[in-house]
Amino acid sequence: MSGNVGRSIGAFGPLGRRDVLRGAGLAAGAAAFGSWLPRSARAQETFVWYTGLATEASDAVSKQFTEKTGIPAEYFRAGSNNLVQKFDQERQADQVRCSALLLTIPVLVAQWAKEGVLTQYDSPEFANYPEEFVIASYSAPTSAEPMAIAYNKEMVSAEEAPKTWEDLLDPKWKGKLALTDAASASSALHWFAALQSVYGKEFMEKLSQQDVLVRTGGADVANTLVSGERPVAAAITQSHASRAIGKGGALRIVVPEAGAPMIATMICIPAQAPDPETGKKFVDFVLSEDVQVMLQDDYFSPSLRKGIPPIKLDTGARPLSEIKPMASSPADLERFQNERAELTQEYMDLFK
Amino acid sequence: MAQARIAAAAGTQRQRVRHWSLGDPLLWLQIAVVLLLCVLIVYPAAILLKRSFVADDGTFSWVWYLQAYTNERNLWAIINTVIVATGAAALAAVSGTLLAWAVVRTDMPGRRLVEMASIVPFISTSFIGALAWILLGSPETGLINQLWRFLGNEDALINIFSLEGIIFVIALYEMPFVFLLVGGALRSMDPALEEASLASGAGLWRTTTRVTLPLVLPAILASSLLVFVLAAEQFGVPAVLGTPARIRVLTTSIVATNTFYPPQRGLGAALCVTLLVIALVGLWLQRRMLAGRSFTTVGGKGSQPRRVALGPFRWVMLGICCLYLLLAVVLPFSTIFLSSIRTLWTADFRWEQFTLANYHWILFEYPTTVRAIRNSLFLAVVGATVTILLCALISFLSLRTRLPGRNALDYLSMLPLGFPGVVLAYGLLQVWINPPLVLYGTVWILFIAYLTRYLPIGVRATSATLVQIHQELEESSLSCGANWFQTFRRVTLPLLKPGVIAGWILLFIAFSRELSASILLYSPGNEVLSVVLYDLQQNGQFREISALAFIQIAASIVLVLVAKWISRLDRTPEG
Amino acid sequence: MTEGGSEGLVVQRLVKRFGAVTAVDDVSFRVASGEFISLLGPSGCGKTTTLRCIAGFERADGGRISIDGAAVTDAATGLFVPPNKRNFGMVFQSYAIWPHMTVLDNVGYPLQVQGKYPRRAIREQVLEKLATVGLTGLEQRYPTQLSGGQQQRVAVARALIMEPKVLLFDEPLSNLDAKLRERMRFELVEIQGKLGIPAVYVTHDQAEAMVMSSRVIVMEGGRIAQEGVPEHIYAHPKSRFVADFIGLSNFVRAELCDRGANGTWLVQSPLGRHWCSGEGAHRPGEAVLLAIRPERISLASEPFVEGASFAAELQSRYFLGPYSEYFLRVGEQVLRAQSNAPLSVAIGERLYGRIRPEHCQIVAGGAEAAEPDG
Repeated sequence: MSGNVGRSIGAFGPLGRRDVLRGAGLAAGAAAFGSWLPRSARAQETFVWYTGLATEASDAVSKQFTEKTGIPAEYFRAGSNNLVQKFDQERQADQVRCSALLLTIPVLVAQWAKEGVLTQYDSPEFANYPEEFVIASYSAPTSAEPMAIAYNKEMVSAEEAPKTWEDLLDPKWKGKLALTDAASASSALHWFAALQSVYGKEFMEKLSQQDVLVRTGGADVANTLVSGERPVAAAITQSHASRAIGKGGALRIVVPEAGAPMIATMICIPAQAPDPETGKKFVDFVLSEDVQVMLQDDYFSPSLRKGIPPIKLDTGARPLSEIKPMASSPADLERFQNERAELTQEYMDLFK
Repeated sequence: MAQARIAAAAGTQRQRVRHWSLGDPLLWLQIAVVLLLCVLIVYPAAILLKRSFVADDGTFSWVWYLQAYTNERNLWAIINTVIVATGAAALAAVSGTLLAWAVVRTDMPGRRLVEMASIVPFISTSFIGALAWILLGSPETGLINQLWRFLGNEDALINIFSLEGIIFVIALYEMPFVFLLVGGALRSMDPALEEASLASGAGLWRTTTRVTLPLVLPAILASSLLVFVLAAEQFGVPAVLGTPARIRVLTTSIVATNTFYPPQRGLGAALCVTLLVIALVGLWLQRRMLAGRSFTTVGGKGSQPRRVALGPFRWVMLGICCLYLLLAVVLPFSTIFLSSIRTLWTADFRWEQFTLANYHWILFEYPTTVRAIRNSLFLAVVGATVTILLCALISFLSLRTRLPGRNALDYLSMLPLGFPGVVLAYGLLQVWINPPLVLYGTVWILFIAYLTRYLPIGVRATSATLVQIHQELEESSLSCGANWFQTFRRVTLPLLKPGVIAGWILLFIAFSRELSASILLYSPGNEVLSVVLYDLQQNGQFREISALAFIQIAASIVLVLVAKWISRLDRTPEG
Repeated sequence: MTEGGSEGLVVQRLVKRFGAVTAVDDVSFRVASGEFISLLGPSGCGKTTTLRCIAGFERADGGRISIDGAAVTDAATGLFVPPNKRNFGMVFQSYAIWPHMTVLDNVGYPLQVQGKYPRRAIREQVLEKLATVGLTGLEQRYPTQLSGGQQQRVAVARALIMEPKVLLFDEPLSNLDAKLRERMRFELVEIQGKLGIPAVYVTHDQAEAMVMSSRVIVMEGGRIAQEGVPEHIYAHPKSRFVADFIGLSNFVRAELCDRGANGTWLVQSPLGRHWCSGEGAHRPGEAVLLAIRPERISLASEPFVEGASFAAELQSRYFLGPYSEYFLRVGEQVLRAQSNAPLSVAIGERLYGRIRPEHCQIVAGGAEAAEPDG
């Protein structure tokens, strides 16, 4: 028996010259391929941030950051709900890859701050933002905007267009409405929670009977309107609608006088961040005046930074100062956050 | 003297392959492979099963199943899954059988062209097909509906965002499985069986219904059950076509429980188990069908089957086949191409709307695509290579040794056939997200998922070749004094080469477009191409998707052609 | 319908082409009722194509086929009766038993498709035919549960059940083992004899053809090479091809010297100067080929007293039971002979052979080189 084993071990050697040559060739090939390996298979060297901002805006921010600091940056974009879910899984696996996080769920960021999920960082830029929006030592808003109504102005006249949230229940809009999916975009979930708390559950029940077309993201809803698939959006972030208009889409935005649910995007640094120092630089960068102006002017994300002139557009979009927030106080947000699972369930049962 | 020694050596070597002892390195290798497969397949399934029975407080509970079967939305997901799978299977069975019959058994003109269409699923996926059909069949803006309205109609002709739309698109792209299997059965059928019916006084119709169809019925049933399972597993198509119409199937519901915040893992596990049962029942039925009623009807003379003269109806048949090509290939691909070079997707075409910006954006500006191409290529090249080598080893161990447990090996390696990608991924996610070995957040969890999911394809490709290699070729190597490792490396592996190459290409193509497992397992930085396509769709960036899809289709065509070229190269020495 | 002389199967000037290849080239024959004829020849000789033209599986390019006086194929008028309207029974090489039907359904199928018989009547008919072929009690079996011979009988029963006007056999015994094949030969002939209908049997097995047929048609390259009763074809092959294909033959080159009586000729061959027989027009001085059956060569250790004998050297001898096989050398020529006479000649020694004139046949194709043995 031992003879057998001995013989089989002997079979592996001796190495011939051809084996050596072939091995060298393989090694060279592997090395060449290795330089092409996916990032995570190698040591981390790029600054990675996660974002719920629109793709184009994220792209511009990432590129400008690299230009300014020389640090290569990569971003991962998804709806805030998906983002949080991926981030949670990473935290559980202790595999957090991002060193900064932009999220439209302020309450969750506040909660994380308390739970030690975030790196403490008191950015000098925080001082330039209204105190009520800043989570001290942890986070500040990169933008704030309303959830609005939008319509295709080639298909719907200004007179016909809905002007209030209740107008959406008009039978003439049956089969004409589109909606951002609250299961993936937390902005839409906030819209759902806010309107339901103000107008009651019946409002949403009636709306769900209007044969609403649910689309995953704001950009998707904007496209639906531009292409004419559905002429009216029941819920879309003002910035998504504005960007579609900026690209030539014949849309108009309606921010109801009665008020609109407000969405704030917060920036923070995870406690398990692989590169918290660059994360801090990035926070300063995004909150800086230049970037805030760019986000507002080029990508229609209204800034909360003090001293920046309000957004001016003839699209129906309104500056923050002219909008009456609806069910968007910190208390409201916290309540919605606690009921998140139930709210999502209610929304799913009605619209999906 | 020398001869006697060689003979004696051959005797002991031969014994070592045929029988086993504890000192046999092959035995340990076998044990290692079985353990590996258990970790890859059985363990995640067990975890999933356990998860579905454990409530949030850690006690045994039926709560998740209760939630799965009493909640209206989840219940509908189950019903819709069965409807979609059955509908797609039925539609694919009817159209696939009709086309196979037309191509193999009639004098329809253009038969070869139609037959070429059978490689459509290798060139496109049903997911890309669905993306294209959104552009064609959206109720308001779909090109077909716009044309319909232009012709003076009020309502939309078709609504692709519907159960029928999902069934239609899945059947369109899975139909070739029926086509290939039934076509093969029709081709290998002894023509005398039909002639005997004609000689008995039965006409063409009766011969076709009483003899031809019953004889290929096992092939029809087996292939349509395969389509049933594939359709039940589908994530991409129902995700993009069903979601806007609020149509849920099990796969999309499972993914939703995970992308939810907070995730509903228990409910997801219960839904996974449900989908698993549906898929396993389908596969079990298919096996029974093949085992119980396989008619070996291969003709004695290898004669060409008779072609039925259709008369003027052959042009009708050609029309039907062309309609299929139009729906599955021409319309979707040209729409995707058109959409990829335009700035806005609207009905009126103006020259200034044409642009290459979408290609530029997707290839150079959108960093995720670059990352995804890198990841997909890595997974496809390294993954396919590792998988096919493992498969060759499994085939060798289960076919060429007398070791204990080689049947278990064979069975284990075929098990993933019954695992829908989403279910497999859900199980892997639960396993590899926790210590000791955390693979979530790396590309390796995708690697494991792909390897596991496509193990059966690789094992089939390699064992089919291995069966054809006469065992004496290996035994003569052993008799020359080589041990099993030398024999495997110097004799078995080179002889296996055609099967290995064919299997590798199949795996490469499969790996480079896997979506339903990837959608749960990818993490930021580890995106793959199919996920990017899906995300862009979710984002509504249709022109960019079209550009990426077009690139993927073009790359696949090139790859399929290269594969054909290689297989021809491989065959030339023989004939 | 049954006018005198038009009964049975008549094939006239049949032509069938596949592209540039003419598979059947001007073939005519007639099969009377009760007659069993074989189409015999190597593969590719056109015998199967001829049969398939009769069945209607192939459409003839020329000629006419009629059954009992009614034309089923007539290339001149474009008449073509489809196979399912020709009313013939056919037994296929692969049996073509439908694996998804029971024996009962298989055999009853021809009656079922006519749609005018009640189930009970069909069943009775089937049981009767199964009894004829010796398969009583197996009607509920599926074909996979039957042996090769039983499947063969099912195929025969199915061919018989609708009382066909013609029986066609396409090498039906070639898939059976040797013993069973021999038994089935006699059974098939017996069954056909009882029915009294014409039968056409395609085979490449000359022994089978000779045992079973009242007449044999040897085909070569799409044409009929020779037609006649088995005994005549065996004894008087017209061509080297026929002599070669049917039985064993020695071929010896010879030169005609003088014409004798009753179609006999005096020839000069390596065997010496001797008499042989040959029909047809020949001239003295012509080079011809002689075909000599091995069993027609008489052997002895001493020269024969009567008739022309030749001397030869014994090259080898093989004992085969009923007879022994001898290889003789006569000059450059090697002859094969079969004899059961006791002969005490050692290898390399001299012995003597004799061939009667009627067993030495002049065949066409004399210009070709003669080979040592058949």
